[in-house]
Amino acid sequence: MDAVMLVEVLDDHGDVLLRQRISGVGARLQVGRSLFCDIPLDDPYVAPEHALLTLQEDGRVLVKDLGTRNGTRMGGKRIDAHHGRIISGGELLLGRTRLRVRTAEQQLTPERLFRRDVLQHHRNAIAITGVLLCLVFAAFAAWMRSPGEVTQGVVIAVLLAMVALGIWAGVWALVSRLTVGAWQLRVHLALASVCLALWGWGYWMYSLGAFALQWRQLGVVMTVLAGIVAWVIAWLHLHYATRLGRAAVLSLALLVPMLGGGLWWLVDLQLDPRTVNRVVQGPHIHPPRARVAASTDLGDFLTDVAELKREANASRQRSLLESPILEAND
Amino acid sequence: MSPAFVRALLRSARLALLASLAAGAVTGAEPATSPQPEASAAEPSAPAPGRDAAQSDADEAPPAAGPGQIVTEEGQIIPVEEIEEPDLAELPLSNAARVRLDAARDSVVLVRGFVGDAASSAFHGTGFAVGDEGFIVTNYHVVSDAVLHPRRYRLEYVTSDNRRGLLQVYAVDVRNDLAVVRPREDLDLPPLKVRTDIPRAGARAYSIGFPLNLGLTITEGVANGLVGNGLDQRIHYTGAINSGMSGGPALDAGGTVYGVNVSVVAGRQLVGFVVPARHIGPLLRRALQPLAETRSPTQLRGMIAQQALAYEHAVLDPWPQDSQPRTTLTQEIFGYQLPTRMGPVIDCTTTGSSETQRGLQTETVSCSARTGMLLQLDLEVGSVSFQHRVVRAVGLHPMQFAQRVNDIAASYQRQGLPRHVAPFACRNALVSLDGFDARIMTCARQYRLFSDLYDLAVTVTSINSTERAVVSQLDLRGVSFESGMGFVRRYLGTMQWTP
Repeated sequence: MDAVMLVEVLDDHGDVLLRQRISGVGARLQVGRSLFCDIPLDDPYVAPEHALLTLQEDGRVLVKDLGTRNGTRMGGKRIDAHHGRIISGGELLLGRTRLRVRTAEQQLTPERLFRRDVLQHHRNAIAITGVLLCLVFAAFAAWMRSPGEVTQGVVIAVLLAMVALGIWAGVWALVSRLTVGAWQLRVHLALASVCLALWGWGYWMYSLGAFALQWRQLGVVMTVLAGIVAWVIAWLHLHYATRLGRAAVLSLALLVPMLGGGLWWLVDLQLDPRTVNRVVQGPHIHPPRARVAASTDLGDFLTDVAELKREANASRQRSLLESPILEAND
Repeated sequence: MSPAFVRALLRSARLALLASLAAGAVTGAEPATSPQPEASAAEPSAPAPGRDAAQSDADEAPPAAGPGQIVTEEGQIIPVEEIEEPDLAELPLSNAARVRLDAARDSVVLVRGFVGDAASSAFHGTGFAVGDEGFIVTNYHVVSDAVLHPRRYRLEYVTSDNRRGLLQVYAVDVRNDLAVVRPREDLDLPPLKVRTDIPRAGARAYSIGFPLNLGLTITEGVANGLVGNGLDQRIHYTGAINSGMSGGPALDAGGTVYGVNVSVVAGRQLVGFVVPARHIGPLLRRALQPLAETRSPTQLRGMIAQQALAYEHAVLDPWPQDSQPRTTLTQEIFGYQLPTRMGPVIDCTTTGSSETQRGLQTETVSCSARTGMLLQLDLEVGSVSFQHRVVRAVGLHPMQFAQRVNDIAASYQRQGLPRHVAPFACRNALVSLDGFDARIMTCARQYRLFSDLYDLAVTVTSINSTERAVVSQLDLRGVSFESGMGFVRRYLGTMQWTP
């Protein structure tokens, strides 16, 4: 088989700017800033004659640095100017320019299975639905809260929701533009609006369900669900906005709900000086017809006061451990 | 001197001038008709002032059983006639106060508390010498930190001739906010005379102390008789008592101590309270040894808590069978029967508006027993307060109404400082009360320093109707868990829905 090599010049985002294929043993390719080079580069950190690539008999490539000040690097290591290095492919760094070299010696992976990107494909429909759901929720919440001046409340709530969505989607679109070179605004808007709508409507459903069923664990279940939504959305945002690998994206996305939850916990429970005045009212009330659970008898409700006293005493013990009273033990 | 006091002096001087011009005319009516307490200060220049004042007093307050008696700290009783009372009519206003101050100066000391070995004081108040054994009386709240943290704070006195030294606390009366202290060495301060009766309403009176650390100060005012809530009695003093004057002597016109300065009502000028001097005697009899020598700090705190709890039954217990008040114990609003005067010392006010605000008509019943006592300078316990907010929807969707009721229930903020109390432990459930269902939350928290004391908080939110609801908040502060829960049980048991 005849020897062949393909040399590609990449831009900052990893897209190919220029591609050159050469075959035949002993074929040479000179790279540098000079116009007499086979591949002239427009990079002030590259020497006029920077590197020489020669196809070997075994199909591999000999890379030689032509005695430059910045050198030629591969995998972070400088290539020796005298002996050069024989490679079967990979990325070279000349000055600030990336050069990808491929040869027939490299093993090719089987082709990737084609999967339709549902989000990318239906981004318009999803974004419109998500934004509408958000705005309807904002209007609904405003109607619930301000019976006096409904129109004003609804307008303000809708505007606020639009601002929030705009900032959210805008930041991700900017990240997207800077790292992969495309704005992908509609994809990020679809993700942001779906997340907000799920949270808003989900909270309302939770509130209704908690009142109807009076099931204590519902709050935990819904918090976990909200965390999962946050994780998935953050993963998709990162997937579209960066070129990171799958494992990196998944773990980075996991940080988002953990960071958010941790911050909330810190502010809400630890830094609030009124913590000692916090009371737990129980699920929000809703119209009586929504209720499914039966009510407790007053006598039964008050029978477990001994348990309440034990909990109050335990709370004092914790409080004393956290911030002891001086001389408490003498 | 406070600007208010200066104004009062000027006004008095003006009235005195007017009164002297009108001498011989109809001056007798003047003190009774004038609403200004300072008007009595203008009397001296009017003829026969003593009798006029006595008559106007008699109209306002029922005559005491016989003449007042003077009890010295040894228990010796002197008839009131024997007290030498200088004829103040002869003295200009400012001189009268100066005479009192000069007479009492050597008996009054500045009481200061220091953290550890610090050179600047953490708190201060006033004390005065009583009896022959070298005891000094002051307020409990002035020395409370030193009592509760005996190894962290030290107490010092400063006499009028600038002698300094350490003080030890001998006895405290939390309920009446009194403490008895004694210097380590004998100071030979001249004791003040003490009377155990109450000056008649309208009588001239003075308060002495160190307001805001400005040096020894006397203020002049009027003792306006006893005020109380059925549990405590304080003499209402119309005159300036500022922080730092706490624990200072309250003197009558003759210079005899009738009480101890205790506190002012925040935000209102010239309204002060004085603890009647009759509580001093029993406390002196209990003053045998320094408290810190016989008890550990834990025991001291237990003793303070027990003193606070000793009165809680009077606040939390229901009306005795034989003294049921004629007024009803519940109030009906929009179909809800709600507890109001649950005990002899609980008073209620109802406010409501007929106008609709954002779709709601609201009536509010607020009840409280103003029975709190200070365990520390910023810690008041032993109080009961509850509030019912009853609302009726006008043109609201049931969901909007429920939302508004949630907001009302959440808007109530409980009071408490992290250094005094631990966080609440709470229980909540949907509970069926008499005729209606409600979401009930009961919370309890324990005091960090006093393991016998608890705060209990209850919120009741009715869920029986789409257009009427009651949100009821109950707060019990510094009570024992069992008595408090008994009150909560009664409170919840009283509620009823009768459409």
